[in-house]
Amino acid sequence: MTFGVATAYASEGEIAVHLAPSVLGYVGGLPITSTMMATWLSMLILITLAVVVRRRLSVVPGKLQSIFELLVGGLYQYVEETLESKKLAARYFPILITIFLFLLAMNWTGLLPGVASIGFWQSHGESQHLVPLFYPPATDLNLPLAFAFVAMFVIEMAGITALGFFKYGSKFINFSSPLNFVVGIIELISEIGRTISFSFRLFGNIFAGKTLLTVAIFFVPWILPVPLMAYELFVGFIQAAVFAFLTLTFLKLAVASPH
Amino acid sequence: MDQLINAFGIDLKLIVVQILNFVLMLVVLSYFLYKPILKLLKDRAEKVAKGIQDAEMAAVVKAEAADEKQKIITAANTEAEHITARAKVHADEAQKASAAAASEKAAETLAQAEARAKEMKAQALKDSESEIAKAAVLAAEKILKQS
Repeated sequence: MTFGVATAYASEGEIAVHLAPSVLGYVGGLPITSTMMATWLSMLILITLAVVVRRRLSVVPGKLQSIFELLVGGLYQYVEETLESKKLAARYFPILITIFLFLLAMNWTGLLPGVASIGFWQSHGESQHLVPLFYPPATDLNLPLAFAFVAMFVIEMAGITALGFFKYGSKFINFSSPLNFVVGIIELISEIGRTISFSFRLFGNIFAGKTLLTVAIFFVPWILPVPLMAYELFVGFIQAAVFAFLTLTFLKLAVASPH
Repeated sequence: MDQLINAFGIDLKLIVVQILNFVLMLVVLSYFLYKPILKLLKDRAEKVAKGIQDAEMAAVVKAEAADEKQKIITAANTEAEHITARAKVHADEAQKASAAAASEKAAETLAQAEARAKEMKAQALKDSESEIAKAAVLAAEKILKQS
């Protein structure tokens, strides 16, 4: 295994696209993937940023503080308006904004130079291929799945705590009339479908973006990737926002009384 | 299904680690970012509200002060008018009194002058009577001497 960069790899005349994440090694049975490394990198960046903001917090805000004030304050107000409850907003706001900020940090970390291009050469028989040290985290389905599980867990728990187990359950399993029974079953299926749509929407967008960039860089390494990169920045932001926004919307639906 | 899971590299351990990552970020960011910022924003909103309230109160106080000022000025004006009127009355009275006194004195002087004139006239008469008498005596003497 030798250290290398992916441009050399690309010049050999092949593009490798894998759905599964590359494994760098194992720690106590846990595979350390390049997407996991990038997740940790983005966590480091985000935590550092948060600590810096916290340290410099003052009544008269600086530029960085203004951005975070606008983000945190604005989103809090939006959540409060949507949920129409101060109590619910205070309870679920941290989860919603963490979904947004963490996903945004990961999507943008995935676009940093060196991510996906710096790694180790691994030989598979005749051919050699690069195992990147970092790779955009959302291109690994495990991450969108984990987020989807968190979101669905929070949504179901919100429904149960707001309405009680049986009243919330009556949204899905209802014997009051044949029509309500069918509607309930459809609701149940769509509830499960949400987990899949949640995870595949994020995975698909980021994976497609990364693949598009890889292909573009392979064929036209100059200039062309720049607007694509800008577009991927936008997609990374939008996907993080959409994930958080949908969680908020489903949360709102879950805490509403069944009619 | 197994093929699908293998193709996507789905691994329950990785999902669990990612969920733990999320929980860690939730705790850390809540502590360092959301709570301090929301507290700061709340404090600032309270401060601004207090500032506005103070300003409103100051405006009320100012209006009251202006009212008071107007009242004081009005009162002072009225007082001044009173004083002026009184002073005028006083002045008039004094003028009248002094005029009366002057005319009285003039009358007195006139009376005195008249009395004196009468006296002088009487004296003059008396004087002339004795003069005439003397002259008569002298004339008589002269006549007597001649005869």
